[in-house]
Amino acid sequence: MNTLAALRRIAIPAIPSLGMLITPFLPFTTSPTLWFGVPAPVVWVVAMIVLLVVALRIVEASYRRAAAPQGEVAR
Amino acid sequence: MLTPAIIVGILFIGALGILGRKRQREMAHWTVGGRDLPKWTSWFLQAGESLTTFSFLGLAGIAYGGGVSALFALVYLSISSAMLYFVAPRLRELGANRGYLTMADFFHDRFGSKALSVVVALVGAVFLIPYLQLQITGLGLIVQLATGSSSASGLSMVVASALVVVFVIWAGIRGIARVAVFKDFAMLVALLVVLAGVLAGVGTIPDVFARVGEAAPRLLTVSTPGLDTTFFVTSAVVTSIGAGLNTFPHLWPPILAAKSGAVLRSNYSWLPVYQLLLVVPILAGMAGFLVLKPKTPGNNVLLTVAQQTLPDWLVAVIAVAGAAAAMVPAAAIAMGISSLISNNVLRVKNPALRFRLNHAVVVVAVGLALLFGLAKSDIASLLLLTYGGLTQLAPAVALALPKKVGAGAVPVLLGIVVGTVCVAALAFAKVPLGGWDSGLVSLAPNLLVLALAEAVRRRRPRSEGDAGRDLAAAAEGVA
Repeated sequence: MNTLAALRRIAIPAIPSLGMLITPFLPFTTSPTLWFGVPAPVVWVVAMIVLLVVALRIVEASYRRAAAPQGEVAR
Repeated sequence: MLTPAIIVGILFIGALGILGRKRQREMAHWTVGGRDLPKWTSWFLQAGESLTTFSFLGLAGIAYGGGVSALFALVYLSISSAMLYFVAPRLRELGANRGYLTMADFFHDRFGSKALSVVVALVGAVFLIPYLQLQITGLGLIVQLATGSSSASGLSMVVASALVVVFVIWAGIRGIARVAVFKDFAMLVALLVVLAGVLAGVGTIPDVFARVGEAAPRLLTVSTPGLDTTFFVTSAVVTSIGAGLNTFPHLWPPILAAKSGAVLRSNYSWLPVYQLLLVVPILAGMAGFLVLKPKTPGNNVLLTVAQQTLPDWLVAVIAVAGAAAAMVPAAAIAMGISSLISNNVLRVKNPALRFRLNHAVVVVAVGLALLFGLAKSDIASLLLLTYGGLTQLAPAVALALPKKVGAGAVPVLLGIVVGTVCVAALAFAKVPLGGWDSGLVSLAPNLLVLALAEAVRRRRPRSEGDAGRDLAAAAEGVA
């Protein structure tokens, strides 16, 4: 196992992770904004976390499909 | 009535860690439980670090003063879970193949340097003491806020510390896992009770946020002075790096003890859902802005809101959950410190003697943290070093994950020393950094020194000997 994980597997959860990190730069987080009665940054971060879980489950499914040996951390 | 109820709750938590568990008599089983912990046991150990006393005290306080900027905690916890999804199975694989019990064993094996492992063990143990004190002091504060009695606070700290020592020594990681199961359910119940209190006593969720928006619009933005964009991004990035590369020594045993890498991957993929519970303390903190006196200390916010909106017996439930949220991390930290000292610093050959010394270190570590807590010693400032300092180990962990280790022991050691000294200098000299996290700033000289030293190392003429042995010898020389 020379590599920790294939880049494409890392790239999928990286997208919502970056989405969370750029939160303070989004226009709706610098002015008071409510979405559905909740502060827009809260809605945004919660949405990104849900997307992150979906992304990790997609990666997990790819591991299972590839039937990687237990404990192996991917190519 | 509250004090006896809470003390009984704390005794129950301690009993959970002991009853029905065999006494562990061997270091490896005590630390990593035979490396066969199943999915749910691993889940509770991993989730245990997501909700701590910080969830009860610190996070609501940040939301009280800084509003939605407190979301940075959800951001770093989620990102670090995603990183650990990839990193933890590799650490577990190496640990199982090479017999690691501690983080310092990983450094010793991967970089071939005993000196490096001793430095890592000492740095890890020293930095964890303030973190241990934080848990014990946090427990005392929770009890004091719930009961209004400072003597109850001191008593609860002593009782909880003694119980932590007993169940950690008795049952090791399996005892911690048992208590972690209770703690996670108790936290879930407590946070739902807090949410119900806010809904019943302050208003509906949209109502709370609308009123906060009218009274203090800045709390709905990520631009509060002191908790602004720079704070949000740099704190989230540095903590994600540190936690995602598992630089906290006490978090190694739960990973090394898991039954398989697949178990770890599965758990880390779901963990961010569990961490969404932290929205509740953020809501409670912002509701506190509406109902509490101005200048209420941040750490008091959540429990004071609970006291104003809930009956006493429900406040007791929250306090017991808070006590559990302190005792589980405290137990894991005590185990982390003792295993580093007994396994990597003292290096006693006799297994039985080493195990007894390990127990003695548990008693000393918890005792020291308790004394600091009771004396109200201000070692909390050392916490500034705990997060930033331990993050200085991140480059080394990253370089040691691939099959071929990416740097030698000496460059890694120099990077760690320079990074840690830089964190200490920035923290104690109170150098203004414009909101930048000192741990993140210190990673720059760390990486620079590491890169330069590694370049020099690669240019040096080398004999045909084993590179690992060469590096180990060089590191010994430096140390």
